[in-house]
Amino acid sequence: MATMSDREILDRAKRAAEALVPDGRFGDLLRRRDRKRRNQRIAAGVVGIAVSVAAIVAVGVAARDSGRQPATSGTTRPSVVPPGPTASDYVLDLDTGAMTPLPRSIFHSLDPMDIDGHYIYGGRYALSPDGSTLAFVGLGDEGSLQIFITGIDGSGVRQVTNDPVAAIMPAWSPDGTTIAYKGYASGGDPRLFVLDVATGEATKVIDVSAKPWEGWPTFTPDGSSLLYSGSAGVSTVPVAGGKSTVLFGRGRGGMGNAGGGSMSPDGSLVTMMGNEPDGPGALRFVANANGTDLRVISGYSSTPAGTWSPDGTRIVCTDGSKYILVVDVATGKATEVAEGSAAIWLDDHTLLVEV
Amino acid sequence: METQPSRVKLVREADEDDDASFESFFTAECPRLFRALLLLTGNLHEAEDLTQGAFLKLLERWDSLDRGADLEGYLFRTALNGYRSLYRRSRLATKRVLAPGQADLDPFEQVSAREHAVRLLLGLTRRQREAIVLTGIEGFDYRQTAALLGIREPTVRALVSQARARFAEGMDGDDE
Repeated sequence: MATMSDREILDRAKRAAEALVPDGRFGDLLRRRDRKRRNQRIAAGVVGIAVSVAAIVAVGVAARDSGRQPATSGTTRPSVVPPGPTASDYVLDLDTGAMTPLPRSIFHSLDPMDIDGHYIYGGRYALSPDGSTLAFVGLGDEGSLQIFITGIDGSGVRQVTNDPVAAIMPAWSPDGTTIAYKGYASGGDPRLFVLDVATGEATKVIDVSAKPWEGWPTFTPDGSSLLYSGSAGVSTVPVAGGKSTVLFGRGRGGMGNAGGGSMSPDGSLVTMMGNEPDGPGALRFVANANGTDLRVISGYSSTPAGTWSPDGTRIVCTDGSKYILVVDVATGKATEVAEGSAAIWLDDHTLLVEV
Repeated sequence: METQPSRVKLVREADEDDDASFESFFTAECPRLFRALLLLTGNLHEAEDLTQGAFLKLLERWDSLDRGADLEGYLFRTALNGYRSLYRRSRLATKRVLAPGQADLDPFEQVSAREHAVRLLLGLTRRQREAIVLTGIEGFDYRQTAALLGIREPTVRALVSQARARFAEGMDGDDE
C-alpha cells in the first residue's frame, strides 16, 4: 500500500470500474420505461376496478338498506380490495400481465415480519400441491412469526404452528398433508420440523443453525426426504430422521458453498445459489440431482419451496436487485416479468409476487 | 481541482430532437455515472440499477427540463439520492433474514477482488467515498461536489483530506 500514491489508488480504482462499464444500455432504459408505464397502467386499472367495485357495492348496500331496519347483528362490510399491486403482494398472470392483489385477509396477517430484530425478506409463501391452499408466514397470536394456512382465495386463514420463538420457511409435502418448516421449539435452537396439518403435531427432523441461509427445507418429489440448506451445503435428510447426505457443497457436486437448493418436480435437477470451490459467487447453478452436469444459469435468490414451475421447465428467482426473472432451464433464457423481492409459482402461467 | 466542462449543455444545444438529444446525453454520461456508482456501491447490480433509475427520472422529465439547466448536476444528484436511499435500505437489510445466497454475498467481489485500490476505496466511510470519488475521479470541484452532496464546501475538503489520510494509514478504521 505504501507504494501507491493517492493518485495511483484513484486511477487504478477508476480503471477497474471502467473495465466493468457495460456497453450501450439505451435500449434497456427504454424497455424499463415502457415496463414502468405498463405497470402503471395495470396498477391504475386494478385500482380503478377496485374503486368501481367498491362504489357499486356501496351504492347497492345503500339502496338495499334504504327503507329497511338497520341490521341488528354485526355489520357485514363489503370485501375491500387492497391497494394497488405496489402496496401488497400480488398474483401475476404471465400470459396477460394481469396483477391481482392478494386477498386482504392474507396480507393483513403478514406484518410486521421480524424475528430477533431480523426481517423476513422473501420466502414466506408455499402453495399446496393441489393448488388450493397457501401456507404463509404471518404474525401469530403471541406476536411472533408463525405459519398460517389459507385458501388461495383468502378464506379460512388459520395459524397452524405455535412455536415458542418462530416458525418460518414453510414447504408442503407432495401429498399435501404435512408442512416442513424451520422452527425453534424449546431451548430456542433452530431445527427443521415436519408438521402434520390435520393434527397439528410437529416432529423434529434435524438441527440447523440460526444463520438465515440455513434451513429452507423442501420435500423431495417422493416425499421421503427433505432437501435443505445446512452448514455443509445443500443436503437431504430422511423425513423420519437420520443421517443427512450432502449433495452440493464442500466439493460435492462441484460446489464449494451451496444453499437455497430446490429439486425439480421430477427429481432430476437441482438449482441452488453458491459458488464452485474458489470460484466467484454467489451465482445460480443448475445440476443433475446426482451431482453431474453442473452449470451456471441466470438469476439470483429464490424461494426454494416455489422455485420450479410445475411443468419443471422454468425457475423463478430475483435478478439480485428488484426484478423477478423467469429462467428457462433448458435454454438459459431469462425474462424479467415483474418488480418484486421474491416470487413462487402458483401454476405454469401464474406467479405469486412479493413486493 | 480539475473541472469538467458542461458537455450536457452542448449536447442539448446541438440537437433539436428530444429523443435523439436524450440518447446523446445518455451515451455521453452513462459510463461516467455508472463508474461513479460502481465505486460508491461496490456492486454491479446496484450500480446498474441506480444508473438506469436516475436516467429514467430524467427521461420522464426531459421535455420539460430547461435547456440551460445543469443536467449533469441534476443527473448526479438524482443518482446520489438514489444511492443514499439504497444505502439506508442496505443497512436495514443487514438485519433481514435474507433469501439464500444473498446474505453471504461479498459485494467487493463484484467489483474486483484482486484490485487492491478498489478495496481501499470501498473501505472508506460512505461520506469520505462520495467526496473522493466525485472530486478525485469524476472531476467535480469542491463547490460542485458540495452542491451535489448537499453539504458545505469545507466539509467536502475535510472528507477528502480524511480519505487521503485513510489511504496513507492503511485504513484500519471501520466503515460507518
